[in-house]
Order: sequence, then C-alpha cells, then structure tokens
Amino acid sequence: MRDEERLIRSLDGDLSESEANALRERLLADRELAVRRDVWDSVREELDAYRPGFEPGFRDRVMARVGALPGEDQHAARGDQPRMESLYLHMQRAFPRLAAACLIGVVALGIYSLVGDAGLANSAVEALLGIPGETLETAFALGNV
Amino acid sequence: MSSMPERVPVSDSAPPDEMLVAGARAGDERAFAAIVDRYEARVSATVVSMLGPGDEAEDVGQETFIRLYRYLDRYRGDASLGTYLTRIAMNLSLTALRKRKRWFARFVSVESTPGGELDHGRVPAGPGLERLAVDSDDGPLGHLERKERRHKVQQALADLNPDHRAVVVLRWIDGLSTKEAAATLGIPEGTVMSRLSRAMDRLAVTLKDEYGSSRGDHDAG
Repeated sequence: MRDEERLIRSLDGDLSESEANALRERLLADRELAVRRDVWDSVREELDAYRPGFEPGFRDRVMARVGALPGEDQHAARGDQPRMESLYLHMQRAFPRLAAACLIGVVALGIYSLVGDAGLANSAVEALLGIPGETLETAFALGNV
Repeated sequence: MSSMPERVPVSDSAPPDEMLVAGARAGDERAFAAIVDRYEARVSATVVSMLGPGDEAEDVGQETFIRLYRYLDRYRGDASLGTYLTRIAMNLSLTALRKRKRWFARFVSVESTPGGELDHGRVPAGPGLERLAVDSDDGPLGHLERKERRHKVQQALADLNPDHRAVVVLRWIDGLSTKEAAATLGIPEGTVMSRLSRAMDRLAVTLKDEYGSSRGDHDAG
C-alpha cells in the first residue's frame, strides 16, 4: 500500500490495527511524511467545517417548480406511464424475444436444409408454404408435355 | 468505508426516507417537501462546493430535486437517498462546469483576461459568498470569521481542477466512501485515491494560512 493511500485511510479511521502500527513506524522514520499527515489532517478539518448553503426559502422554490411540472412528469413520479411511453416500453421488451425467435427459426431452417435430402435442400420454405418441389429435370419434363 | 458520519441527522421520530419516497410517489407533495428539507444541506454542500455560490448553484440544486421527483419511480433504494441525490447533484454540477467551459471558450478570449490564463472550471469564489447561509447567532465577529473562513475554503476549492475538486467534495465534504465516490464519478478507486492525495497537497498550500492560524489558536489555548 502506498503512503498516500495509508494516510487517506488513516484520516478515514479505516486502518486495521496492524496497518495503523505500520503507519506509525513509517511516520517515526519519515519526518516529512509525519508533517504531511498533520497538514492533511488540518485541511480535512477545514473541509469538515465548511458548510455552504442556499439562500433561505429553497424548499419553497423547489416546490413551486414541482407544482409547475407538466402532467406527464407528475404521472412519471407516481409510476404511471403515459400511453405512448408504455407502448414504447412494451415494444422494447417484446423486441428481444421476437428477435430470438426469428434467429431460432432461421437456424432451424438452415439445419433442416443442410442435413435433409439434397433434393429438398431448396424446398424447406416450399414445404412450409405447400409449394410442390420441382427439380430442373421435372421442370424440363413438364415443359415437354 | 468512510468513518465520516452522514451529514443529515434523522431523528427517531422523523419518518424514514422510504416512507417519504412512497408518499411522494403517491402524490403527497408534503412528503416530497420533507425530502427537500432533509437533503437541502447535503445537496447544497455538493453543488456550491463544485460551482461556487450564486444563481447557477441554486439552479443546479433545484434541478437535482426536480430530477429526483421526475424519476421517483426509478429509485429502487439500491443506494441511500442521500447518496442517490449526491450522484445527481454531482453529475449536474459537472455538466454545468462543462457548459461553463464551452461558454468561456466561445465568448471570452484568453488574452482578454488579466493574467492571460483562464481556468474555465474555476469557481467564482469572491462576490456572491454573502449568499451563503447564515449560521447561528454567536455574534457578528464569529459570523464574520466563519464567513471569511468559508471564503478561503471556497477559494481553495476553486483553485483545484474540476476532477480533483469533485473527488474532494464527494469524499470529504459529502462524506462518501472511496468506493461510492468512484462509482459516482465512474472511475477506479485507485484514481480516487491518487486524485485525492494530489488535491490534498494542493489544498495544503492554499489553506496554509487557515490551518496555520487555527493551530496557533490551539497551541496558544
């Protein structure tokens, strides 16, 4: 652990007993570090005493703004979704499921086409739609009828 | 974890945050007003420390609570309400500083400033400090002394660059832990530590007179 981190954690009162002992030894051995720790401690006290604030009446000014908010924001605060936003959220939730289903369908069709009869390679969609499968030969034969 | 106590004391008889949030969600404006009352000091500490006192800080402070109100339904209680508000306040403050920087870049030429240099993220630390909240009445001298001290701290914070200032504000003014500060700023904990140590060395220089005099007081006493 670096000295700076030790100093910060010591100001936080966050060191374990063994870490605090190690720091004490370091401070005894290094006068500069000891001075630095004292100075940081004083700075920390100054910051701790620093209490800036807003002008009086802040709460009333905030509440006036809350009262002037449009209805949709009032609904949102209560957790009521306006209709368009609700539809949008439903679509957002439905889209990943729809996309996953489409992906599974495409993969299934691909596998069916790959592992199935070579003659049917082109007919997965045709079978699905009820279109009779045709090869070049049958088409040619039909053309000669 | 930080040893610094939460800056918003809530008495046993006061309704807990969860109850106030539930009330505000149900449309009870008094519940939301109670939230504003409870966390005004904490939000002002973040915003004024980052931006300096004035209208901009007031706007960002108000906007912090308006954001909370708008997105109350999204608050799940993963972080405490105070930490949640601090995150909103810090993000809005950093956005305001970026806007300020763009505005300066567009309308103010560097050469036109007296020193020829311009720190766009600087907090206006001088006028406007009168707007700081007045503390309890322990006499005009005590008030003036405190005001002067706040002025010095504000100036010292203003001398830090915004990244370092944000870390100091979150860690030692808002009282967040290193982990929470890192999560708020979206940076690793190690970066929080290194920025904090550099900022402390810088503050040690700019606040030297302050802690020097207070030490002298202690020593004399």
